[in-house]
Amino acid sequence: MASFDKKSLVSKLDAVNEYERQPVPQDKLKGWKSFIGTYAGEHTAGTEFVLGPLFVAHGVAAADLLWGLLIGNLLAVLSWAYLTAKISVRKRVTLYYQLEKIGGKNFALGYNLVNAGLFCFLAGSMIAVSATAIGIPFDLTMPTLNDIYPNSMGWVITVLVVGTITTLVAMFGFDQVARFANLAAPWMIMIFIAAAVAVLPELGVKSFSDFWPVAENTIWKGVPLEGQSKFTFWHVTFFAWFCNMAMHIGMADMSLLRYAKKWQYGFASSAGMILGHYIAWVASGILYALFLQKTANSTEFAPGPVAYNAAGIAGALCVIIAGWTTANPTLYRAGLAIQAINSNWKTWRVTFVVGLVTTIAAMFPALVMKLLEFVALYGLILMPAGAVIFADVYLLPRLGLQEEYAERAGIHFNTAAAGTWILTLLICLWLNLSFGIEIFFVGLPGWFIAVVLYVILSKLIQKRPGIA
Amino acid sequence: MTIVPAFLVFAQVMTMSQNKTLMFIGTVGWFVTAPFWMKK
Repeated sequence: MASFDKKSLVSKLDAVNEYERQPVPQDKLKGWKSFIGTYAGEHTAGTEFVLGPLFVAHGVAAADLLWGLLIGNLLAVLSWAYLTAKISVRKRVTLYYQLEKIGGKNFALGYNLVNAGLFCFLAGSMIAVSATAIGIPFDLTMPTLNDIYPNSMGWVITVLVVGTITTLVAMFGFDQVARFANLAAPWMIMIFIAAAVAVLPELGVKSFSDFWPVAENTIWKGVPLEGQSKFTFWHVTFFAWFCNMAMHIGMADMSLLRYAKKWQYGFASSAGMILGHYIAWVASGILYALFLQKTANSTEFAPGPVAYNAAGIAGALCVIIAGWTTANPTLYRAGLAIQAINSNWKTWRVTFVVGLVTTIAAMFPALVMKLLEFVALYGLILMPAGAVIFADVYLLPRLGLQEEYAERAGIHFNTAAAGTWILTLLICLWLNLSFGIEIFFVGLPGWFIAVVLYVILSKLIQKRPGIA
Repeated sequence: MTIVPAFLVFAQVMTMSQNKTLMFIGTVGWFVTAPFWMKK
């Protein structure tokens, strides 16, 4: 890390123009290669060490996994291209600014706060992932699949150490971490692939023709581990599609794709989906299957030992770096989002408090063990904001209603947008509780419900000028 | 050095132990050299 010069860092940060409140100018647009690299790096992360194994734990069958990931990831790429990218190049502003124009400053602030909270939990899960690797030389008692609470003082201390380091770096050295993450991304992909290929002979794959029988009978056997629910093709498909719901149909990647010269660059997301959400998930599933075989289906669930067993120190380092390079920017963004409540608050102090909360959350293994459900919930909670943007851009003008109503009406809080968000989530909750529709699936009807609600509520609100 | 040894293990030309050692050396080599040739 560079020697710390706070004034120099602040002035450098201040000099960076991120076009937070204006469209990106034409001369600042980026070529497609930039997006390929960004998506590949962002979607090969610490989460991949958890999600792939969880599919194995939930008893996904081999064919269901491979087809489900193919179709689900394809749907995700199409969502990024046809929904997110098209609106992004049209508007060329960040998600936050677009939400402010539609919903008002207070609505955007609310979105920021909710997002910050979710970021904290995501960062917490990644701190825990890194901790599982840090704990290897200390013979740490690792958490198990069914653990919710911390299971040992050693675990608490290890998480505390990792969380503290992550927080300090987020407070003072984020730009260095970003550079390090860019360096590490291609290496991580290679580690995933190499580790999985190297362990195949131990699983019984001595030639290409051996792969499918071993995949069906040893790796993805189709039988969930004790205490885990069974996942089907549909779970895999919808998870692969909606795990990044916040980014594509939730429109968070407007902040990224606003720099695209053409909307077709949205297809660059395929780099991340292929490398991170297909290859890495398959690879980590293979590593976990070997772990289960060697430990007679131990319920211990810790990416660190799994990777170490398969790839030695390089594998353990990959888990540490993958978890850390995901936790760090996530924590940094959470700090920025909460600091937006009051610009007088020093960002570093806010980040410290956020880091403390995150580290405490990381001590609870449930954050890792329930990562599939958490990621699905994350996308679901933020999805209505994207539906509001979609409806605002494409439907309201055609129906004779005003788009970007908060900006045009000069209001800070558009109740149509807020009502859409709250009602959509309540309806989704009702669908889950009343009809048993699992969280992985409820986002799809939820999106349509949000679009319809926003149109109806906008019609009601905009019919009564001066009342928001 | 990070990825090729793995395929040699699959082909049963190299042992797992040798592979892990080479992967570690490859890792060190990557982080030492990548800052110089990788674009930001």
